[in-house]
Amino acid sequence: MTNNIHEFLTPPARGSLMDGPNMGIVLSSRVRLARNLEGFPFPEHATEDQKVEALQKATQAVCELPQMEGAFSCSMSDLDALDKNILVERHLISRELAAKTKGSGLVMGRGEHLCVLINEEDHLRMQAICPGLQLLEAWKAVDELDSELEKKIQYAFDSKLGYLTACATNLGTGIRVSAMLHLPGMALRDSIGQTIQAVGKLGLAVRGLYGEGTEALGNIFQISNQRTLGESEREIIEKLNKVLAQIIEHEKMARTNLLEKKPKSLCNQIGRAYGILSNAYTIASKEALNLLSLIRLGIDLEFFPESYRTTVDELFVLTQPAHLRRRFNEKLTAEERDAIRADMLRERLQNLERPAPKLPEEKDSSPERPGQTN
Amino acid sequence: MLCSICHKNEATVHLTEIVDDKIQKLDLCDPCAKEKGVDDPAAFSLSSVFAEGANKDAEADFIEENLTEHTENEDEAEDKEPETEKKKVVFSGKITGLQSMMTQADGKACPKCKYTLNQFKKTGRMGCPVCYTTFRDVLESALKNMHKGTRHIGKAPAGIKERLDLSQKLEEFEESLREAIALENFEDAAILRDQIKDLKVKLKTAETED
Repeated sequence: MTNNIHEFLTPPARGSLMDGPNMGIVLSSRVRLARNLEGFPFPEHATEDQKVEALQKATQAVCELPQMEGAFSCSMSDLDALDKNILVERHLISRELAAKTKGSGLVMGRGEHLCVLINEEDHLRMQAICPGLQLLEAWKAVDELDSELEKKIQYAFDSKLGYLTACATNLGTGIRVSAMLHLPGMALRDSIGQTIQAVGKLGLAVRGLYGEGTEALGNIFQISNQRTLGESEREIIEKLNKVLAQIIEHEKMARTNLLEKKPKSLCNQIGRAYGILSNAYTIASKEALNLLSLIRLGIDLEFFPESYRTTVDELFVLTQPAHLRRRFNEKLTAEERDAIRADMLRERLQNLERPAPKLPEEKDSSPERPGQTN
Repeated sequence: MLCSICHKNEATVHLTEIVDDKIQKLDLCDPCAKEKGVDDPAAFSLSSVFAEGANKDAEADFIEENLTEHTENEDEAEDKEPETEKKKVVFSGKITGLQSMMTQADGKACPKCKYTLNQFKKTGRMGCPVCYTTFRDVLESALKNMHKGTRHIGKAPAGIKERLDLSQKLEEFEESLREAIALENFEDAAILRDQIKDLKVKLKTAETED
């Protein structure tokens, strides 16, 4: 077992090669289960000694699981702030866990497919992540892990209320099924607000890039179930799958619509994103994410060669603050980071050709083309 | 309409919730809605905001007051002590539904972990698994708003799953038995009685095995 988280983590270059169904719109699928140990107070109400005891017990049991062979395991007190931020930027741990120190920990399986957070809000939060739209596959993986673990650990379970969790909002199945979506088409058409509202009415939650209470940077949204009691895991997954299928359809329609009705405005946005990313000498991470999102849209629409998809997905990760600091210098100021980020983007995109729009046949009387002044 | 919490901004989020046949209403501005987590309507339960308000201001009297009276009070308070302004939660109209929730014995504590009802209301979290038994009656109505049902459906730990299935079957058989007797269908009733006997034995062994 390696002690160095950086040796263990998949390099972003390799991570970006992962492929899954519907990757153009669904970046990843995740299923998380909340579980607690019988006889221990929940982490927030526990003393440090109780937390350390629960952590030891849970870590040992999790590490013994066949799925966790060759896993990385550590206490949160062993990681510095930068390491924690890197794990957050990779979406491997929550910001809540990153804020913890002694008495909390994590066990991460090879390939980062399975990850168990210990003493976050609950004693155990185990998650499976799959690339693209694969909710059922993610559920199967985490379900198996859970079934193995229940042989070693006595869970807090009530025959009426199901798995008992620190917060009643997770009671019952303790499941959170979520998908990370890239929705630039709807964002450009300003129809994202409507979608968020409609999804909210179905009892689902929409969140930003880094989960609860964060902004939707780079047109990336997370959609997940809210209710956990009174519905089975499969029902919850099926419901989310249905909603996701509709959102994917809407996003595709939004993109087609942009191509047909507003080709100039679409080309303008993508062209400007290309211009700035490949020529800027300083750029903030927010702007970089938002522009990279447009380049990714350009690849989906075949304005750019498909071979650049992995580069763009890699840059999504590499240009984030903690990743830049780890790669170059821990003490980088925000201004220095912005300059280095711009250098990196220029260099990685220097051979990317200008966008070559593939637009549907335009009619001669197109209102968007006044005269022949190209 | 001004926000019921900060009284500064225009309210953009209007909430209505029915708890135990009583209507609760709340008008919030964007920043206050975000702070309370109300920007996410599905996740939010109005009672939690009320409960929070009750904690911040021990006197629950303010709920009985109406908005106009309070606006005046707030104006005065703003000059003297801006601190209190933030703490006060004001509602337009009378909301009686919450009274029961707030006047309940807030000092009640969990025998296992000493967690109190007050702490639960403040944080929305439980102290330990036993708290769910301790505070079950308080939780019940909140669960209805939060989830689709109040009874767990789905996965259970293997040993418990077997027991759950057996006891569910037992309930069904007992119901059928009552029906059969009511219909004077004694042949079926006799069969059911024997099946129930078997089930009870199985359930007993399953329980002792654990």
